[in-house]
Amino acid sequence: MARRPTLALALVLSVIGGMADRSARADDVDQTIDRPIIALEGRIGYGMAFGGGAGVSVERWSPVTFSALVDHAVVTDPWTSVFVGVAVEGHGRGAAGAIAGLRVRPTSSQLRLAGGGALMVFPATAFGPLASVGTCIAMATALDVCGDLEATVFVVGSDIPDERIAGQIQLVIGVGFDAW
Amino acid sequence: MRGELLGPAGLGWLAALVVVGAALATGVACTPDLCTRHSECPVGYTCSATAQCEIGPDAAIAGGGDGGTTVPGNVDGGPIADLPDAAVLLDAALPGGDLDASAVIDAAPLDAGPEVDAAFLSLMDNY
Repeated sequence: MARRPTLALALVLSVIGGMADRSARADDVDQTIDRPIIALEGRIGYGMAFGGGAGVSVERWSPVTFSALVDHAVVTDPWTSVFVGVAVEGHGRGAAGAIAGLRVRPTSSQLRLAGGGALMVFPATAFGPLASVGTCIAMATALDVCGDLEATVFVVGSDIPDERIAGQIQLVIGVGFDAW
Repeated sequence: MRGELLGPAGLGWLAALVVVGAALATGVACTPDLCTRHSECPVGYTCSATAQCEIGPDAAIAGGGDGGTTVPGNVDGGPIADLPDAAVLLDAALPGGDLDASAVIDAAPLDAGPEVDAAFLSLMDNY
């Protein structure tokens, strides 16, 4: 029985590896943009936070969110990647957590759409879905500057008041490096 | 495309994002005094359904283990702005104690935060 998780993990890794291999040959398919298989991205986001549900609705400045992501391509057509990273909130609040999700580049341009989740774990928990739309601009070989409009809605967690939700819409600026 | 500087399409996207970001940053009628999450409130306070930071249940029960003494005007939904940190300070300093916080509150003017704090500090010095 103990081998089943190992076999399952090996299967998942082989599938991901196969996808990565496909993506490695993506340059043969898409000559317009040299997309990385693995990219690292440092980001900073700021915008509007909102709260609502039972009681009054609130709009206010969001925290400043710093995040560092690892983005790994898994499918070439459309170019799709999995990203995971850490997120830290500052400016009026201190919190730390993680974000993860999928990014899709539906066209041959740098337009990218993302969906996933955010989980803040310290000092209190907050979890909810996130979605973003944005693009990147190639500044140099293996260096991109990216901008995304990202929305997150926290729906559960000890940091969320009872019968309320909290969210934020942020303009996120990132610097991406092609790692591989 | 990689290696090129900003092209027309990139500039367009960048301009759009800057415009949207500026609108978010300046055009929203914000209510900064209200909260959306508990973590936006000072330690010991929680974000209520009315989106205001109010003293949390632990901090409001100054007496601790014996059921304690609630701080007037807070647990019942009254304003807490006049008591910025006093009850929290008291709760943190005297966990499980049996101090009668209401006596301290009554002894200090509710419209003067520093005086309230001073009263608590003085009381704890002598406790």
